[in-house]
Amino acid sequence: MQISHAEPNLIPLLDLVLQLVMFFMATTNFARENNPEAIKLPLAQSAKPIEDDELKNERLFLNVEENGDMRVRSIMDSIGTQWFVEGRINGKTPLQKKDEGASELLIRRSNLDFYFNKVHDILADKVARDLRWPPYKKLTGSDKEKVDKEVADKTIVVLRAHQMADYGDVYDILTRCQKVGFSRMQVRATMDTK
Amino acid sequence: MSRREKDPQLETDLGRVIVPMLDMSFQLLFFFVAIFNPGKAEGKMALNLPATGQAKAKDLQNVDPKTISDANLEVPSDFVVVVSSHEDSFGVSIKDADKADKVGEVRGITPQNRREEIGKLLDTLREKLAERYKAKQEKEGLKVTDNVKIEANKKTKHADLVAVMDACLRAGYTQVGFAPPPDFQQQ
Repeated sequence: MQISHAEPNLIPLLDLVLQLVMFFMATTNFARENNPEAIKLPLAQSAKPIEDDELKNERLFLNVEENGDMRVRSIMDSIGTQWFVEGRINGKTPLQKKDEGASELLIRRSNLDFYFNKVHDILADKVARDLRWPPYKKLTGSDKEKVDKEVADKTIVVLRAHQMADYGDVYDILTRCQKVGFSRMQVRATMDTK
Repeated sequence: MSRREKDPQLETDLGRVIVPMLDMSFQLLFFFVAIFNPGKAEGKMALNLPATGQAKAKDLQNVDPKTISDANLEVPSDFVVVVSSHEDSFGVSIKDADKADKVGEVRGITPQNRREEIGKLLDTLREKLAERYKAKQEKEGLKVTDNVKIEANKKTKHADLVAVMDACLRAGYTQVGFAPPPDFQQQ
């Protein structure tokens, strides 16, 4: 009796699987740390695709939740201290010191001011270091102005607000951010292709 | 042995290599399928906000009267699109120096028909804005400015505001900014 040694040819199957792996590798986006899924963006037909050139700039993401709280990314200062590791600016936990009896709204507002000032100072320190100047806090006059301008030019503020967030909260956040010195702003929306 | 004849030893070796490779490929495939998210793409819309305030002059002789002061950071605009949004109603009007032109108002909105009803009203707004832009372009030619500001009450939902912004951008205006809500006080 003759024993058959017929085996399936696995090479085409391997080809196909590798093709699929390549496709998924190419289309997968791992950079999701700034894009919390909880924030459902509004739809807009005029929203344009994000250009690669923007990645060269510093980007400050303002992820505004439905209730007006803000999710933020932690940031490291020049001496290696990691700030805002909890990743949230809300009206419950004072960032700086305990405000006895302060309302949630007041705590949120003071937290926002502290956050924007801190981020601005950290970015300004980076710019001053690149220019081989002393730390930002020690700069005065035209040097300080030059660093402020550089920070404003190089930083894009990206507003990612939940579609059900109130305009009052969004406007409050934007103006506080603007008062600190950030001026390049963009709104993010889901591209509606209908 | 001719070249065309198969070498059984070689075939066995190839078979041994392919099976673990296929295993690994399936593992990779499973990983990428699991994390794949074919959601709608995120896009950007430029927001027109003024630059930070100019530095103050060190002495009186250096004061530049053309420079915008810190206290006056409002962006000049051709007109203001005023939005009045509430739970069950939504109204839009266009306000310029001379008069306010009411575009329309929808009442009795429910969460189910909100997007559709507001969408219809915003189509009308877009047509009116496009007419204004065209008329201005004919009058001013290439020098035409295209600044629009949107003013909305503070309880307006961000989705509605972005829909109004979208209508302005689609009408041809490129610089759209936000005006402070009339019922808003910053502390």
